[in-house]
Amino acid sequence: MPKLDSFSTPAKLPDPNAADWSARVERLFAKSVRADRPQFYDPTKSNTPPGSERPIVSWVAFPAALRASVPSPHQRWKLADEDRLSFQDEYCEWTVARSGAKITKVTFTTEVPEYWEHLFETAPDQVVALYQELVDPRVKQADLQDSEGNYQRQNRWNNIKPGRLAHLIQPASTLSAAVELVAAATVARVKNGVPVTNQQELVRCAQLGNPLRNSDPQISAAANAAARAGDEVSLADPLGLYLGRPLTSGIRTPDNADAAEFWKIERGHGEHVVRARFEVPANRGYLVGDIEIDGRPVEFGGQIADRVQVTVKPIVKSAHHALEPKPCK
Amino acid sequence: MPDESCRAFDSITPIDPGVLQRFLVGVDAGPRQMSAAEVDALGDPFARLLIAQGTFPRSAEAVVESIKAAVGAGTPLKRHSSFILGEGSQLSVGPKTAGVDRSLRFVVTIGSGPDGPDIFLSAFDPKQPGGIELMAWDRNEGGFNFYRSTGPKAIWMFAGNSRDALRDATRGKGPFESHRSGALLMKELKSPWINWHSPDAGIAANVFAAHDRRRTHEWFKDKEPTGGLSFEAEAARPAISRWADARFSRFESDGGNINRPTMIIEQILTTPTVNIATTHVESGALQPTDLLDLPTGFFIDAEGLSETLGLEAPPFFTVSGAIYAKSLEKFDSHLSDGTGFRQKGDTHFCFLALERAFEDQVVLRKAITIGLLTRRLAACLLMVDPWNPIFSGRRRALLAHLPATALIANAKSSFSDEFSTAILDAAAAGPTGTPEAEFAERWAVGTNFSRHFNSLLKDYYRAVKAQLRRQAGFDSYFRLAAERRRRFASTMPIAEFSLLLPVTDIAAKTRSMQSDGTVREG
Repeated sequence: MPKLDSFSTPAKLPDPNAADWSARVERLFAKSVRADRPQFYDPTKSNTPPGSERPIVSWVAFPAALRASVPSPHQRWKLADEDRLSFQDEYCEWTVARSGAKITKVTFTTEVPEYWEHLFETAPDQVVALYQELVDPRVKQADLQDSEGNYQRQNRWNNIKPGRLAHLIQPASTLSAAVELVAAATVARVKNGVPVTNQQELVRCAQLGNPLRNSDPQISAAANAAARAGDEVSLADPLGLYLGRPLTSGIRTPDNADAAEFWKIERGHGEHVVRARFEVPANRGYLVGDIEIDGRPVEFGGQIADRVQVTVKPIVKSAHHALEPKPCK
Repeated sequence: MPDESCRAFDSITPIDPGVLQRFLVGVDAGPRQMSAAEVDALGDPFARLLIAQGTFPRSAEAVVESIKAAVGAGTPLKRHSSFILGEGSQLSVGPKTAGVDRSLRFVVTIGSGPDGPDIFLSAFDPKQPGGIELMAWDRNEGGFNFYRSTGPKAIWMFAGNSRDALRDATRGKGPFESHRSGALLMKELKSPWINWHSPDAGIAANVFAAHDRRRTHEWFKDKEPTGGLSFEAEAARPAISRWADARFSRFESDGGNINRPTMIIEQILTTPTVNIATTHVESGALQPTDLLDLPTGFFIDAEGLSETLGLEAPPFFTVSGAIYAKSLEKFDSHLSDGTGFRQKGDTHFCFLALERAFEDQVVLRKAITIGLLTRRLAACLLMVDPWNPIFSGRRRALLAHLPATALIANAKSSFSDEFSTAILDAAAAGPTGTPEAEFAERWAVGTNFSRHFNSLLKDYYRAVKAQLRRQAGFDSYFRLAAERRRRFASTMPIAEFSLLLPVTDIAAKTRSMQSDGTVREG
């Protein structure tokens, strides 16, 4: 494949101003493509030969840091549900809707805030319409912007409890963070004369984020492994973080239905899903809260998040770079 | 004395590979040809789709392909998932580790659904004849049917059903030496799934030698990306629960009669098997300022006491990286493959500890749900020596008072009364300080036991946290962990690979945790 003409919108969502989005992503790449990172490239500026590998990197949506620091599953699920901003930091966030105490649906998103900023800048009416469709019909444009008319990522509708969410708000979960992470991870590292290859060690050594997250170590390790083989790395189009299939085998439903049927894609398609909900169709006569996982009823969205996968797809372009490993930072 | 271990299958004399043999270790002196009627009685898809049709696949890869070829499009058995693990899989690749046997092996599941996969198989090489371990769910009888293939001709043997794990003649023998209660075994069941390819630690292609055919095999290239995570959620836990459901539902069909409640209560009071847990911190990334998240199950049976019985959940038990590193140094912790490879330090993730197995936790929940155990009795039993969640001789001693049978009607049984009365009688007749006396103390609290038990647990948690702030305190836990690992390795065949556990210079000695958070030695 020659150079990419332009960056698609996340999940190739229809957008009359897609060229503006592509320009925004190109600017974002320009910050991360640097002379001291010769193995990271912008696919709109350099060729990507046919047959270049696109390995899927996937991790689980439930925050690893919380899993590692709260021994009781019940407590960690509760904490994660209660505070998106503090805990849901794996490039995936979710909110829970209930009927009384029972969960009716859990909505997940991997939509990056940069895209919504772009939408607001180029088509504010469309953003309001999307909020009204996805979050709440009462949303007005004034609710989404500051006094100078700039889009507010953490506006009151996108961080309402209980309620539905629009896009990611956790500060570490942005497209620019993901691109920079991949770019920085293409630098081979060495410690005490030994190549650094293990995930957490690499993240620590190169200061690539939080070693106890699911996402950062995984993304870094994949990019770094390709770079150590002398290859070049970028991110596959359409650029974005995507929801993988939830792990539904082993979920028990009152009527023995396959819980995979309850995963409804709201935005995106196929390998490129950015928003989905877990909800039982009304005709089945029961709710998500009536479903059991490992013999426990689903009481928290975190129980579903434990089984939702998030993915990103790097491009690995075969090359023959001589390695010049750098010491740890 | 015949070999009644799981190695019995490896030493059979060559026989006709085109016939299914039965080798029920403990019953059969050796493999014997199964009749057509016996094969017909096997209700699992491996037997139905292949063996009964005269198909005897020679390799693990052929098993998977043959099953998929035998079913129609859209059926769950048309899909397989592959996983890879190995005790040496995370060792760095280089001249020092070139000769290390990393014990790399594949686990493949076929089928999916609310109860998990119908078929599990394990093999070191997808293309190698023989050496396959296979479990397949029997839809007629319930339980997994266990199969082994052995030798270059891939002789297939039926090695028993999950129910045989609970029969005297076959208990603890053949496959049930490892599958103690007939359930699927996943030692490293929890995050970070040490030894498995997982989101927390990938297994890279270069762990295979350049010429190793497994490196390019689809089972490796197309392995489940989230590995251990998927296997735990979609295969291991559902399979373990599936067998427990089938096992307990049999009691209902038997009119509520439980002829041998000891088979259930032993899983609650003793340690037939264990799961392996570690911190989430990589040994190679350990920093003095780190706080290591020590596995809760090392200190307390949190799942049984808190998640099942609702008692006080433990806090986050941590130790500083600096203290931990000193313990590693002090006790000469290292990895060894037994053939010359030695690497200073710990397993890939720090502090490998053993905890109560999930299969035993499920049985506890089931025993309460069906009415065999009241919550009060379950709590009082588990609160005897709770400081030692595994290998507690004190809880084991209570088995002496177990009623021989139990009858359940309308989710109620006199079993709990009979059992508790027998223990209380023994306590009244015996000296102080016995396990029975400890039980009697717990029982005397009455039906509103939570507040008192929570108070005991909170005192213990506080004491443990105080010990963890001191080098000497943590050193004693380090020794206790080593002692439990030694006992595991010497009594359970699932500790089969030398790189599974770290080695230390800690002398073997009886060690146990006490209620004040100190470790008693000798």
